[in-house]
Amino acid sequence: MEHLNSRSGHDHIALQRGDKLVLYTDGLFEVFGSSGAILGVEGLKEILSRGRERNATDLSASLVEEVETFRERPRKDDVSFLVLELTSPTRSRPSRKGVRQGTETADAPARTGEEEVRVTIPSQARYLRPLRALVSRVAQEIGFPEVETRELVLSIDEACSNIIKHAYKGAPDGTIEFILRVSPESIVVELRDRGEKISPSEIQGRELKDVKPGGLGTHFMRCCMDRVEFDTSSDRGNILRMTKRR
Amino acid sequence: MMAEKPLKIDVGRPSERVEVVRPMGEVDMNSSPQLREVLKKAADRHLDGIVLDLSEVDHMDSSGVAVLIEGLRWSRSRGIPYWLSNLSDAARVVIELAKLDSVFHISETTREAMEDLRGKSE
Repeated sequence: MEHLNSRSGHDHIALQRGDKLVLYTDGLFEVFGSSGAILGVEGLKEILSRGRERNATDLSASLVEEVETFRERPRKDDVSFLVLELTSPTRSRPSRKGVRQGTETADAPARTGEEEVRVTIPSQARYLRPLRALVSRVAQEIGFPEVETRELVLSIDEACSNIIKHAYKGAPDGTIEFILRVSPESIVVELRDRGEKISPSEIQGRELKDVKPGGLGTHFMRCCMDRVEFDTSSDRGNILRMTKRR
Repeated sequence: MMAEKPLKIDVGRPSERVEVVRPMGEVDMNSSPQLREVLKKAADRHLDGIVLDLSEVDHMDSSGVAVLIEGLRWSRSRGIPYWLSNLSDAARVVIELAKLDSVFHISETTREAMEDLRGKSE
């Protein structure tokens, strides 16, 4: 983790997709714990290090939570901070639309060695089959093993079904933007919709011991993928990111 | 991986009172209502057994698993033995992920399922 600490002059730092930039005022770390110890920049860096794998929204939430857990005495200063995460490569300039509770998502060029497949499908179940076929063929093309391909395809199918059912509530005129990012380390799937916001708790997997139909899709996604993140920071719609390591 | 087909459902009667339902292709959100309909009709016929041969299932998702559970419920409530047989990899994966492999009666082959059913009715 790199830390910029210049009081004057300029620093340059090259950011790549997936990197996060955290800007904050001193009120964030000038807090005192039970023994009178200050959290300080070092304490703040530790908190950020622990949350480095989280997306901007989750990192912001855990930052507030951890600082507040540490703090035992009243604050003396106001606090502002911004977590900026570089995500999709479509636009060259950061968008200001994603500002939510101190987080912003912006776009960055693809990392070296990364390739991308994008397709937008209508929010209709009959388009799931061609999308699955596309994913299978891409996975085959890059030599992804068959069992893992099946898991990847199943997870994408379940995620799109959730979008059709829960975000668009069956309305056929919505869109699902599908982005598949292939790098030597992983396959990252991103699904964006413009439907109603889905609360991750709304589509949480149910207890498997209850033998009944429904509620299995999210459970399948979590079993089949190495990482599943719901990003609710956009103004409208939902972003789901799923990662499968190679 | 084999090219996937849209869903076709074959319904056979190897014996007078047993129906073998064989979905072929993909069972997803779009096609699972078709399978649901066939299983519902089979359960309503009050047969001596229903065998669901899953050998030709190329893809199955949670909506397909939900239909398998519904079929089990309808059959149970009417006292009809309900067997799954000949699971393809795609079907086996989701049944195992849902931890339903001990909930369903699963036979290696449809012939074995038929013999089990015959043994049960004798």
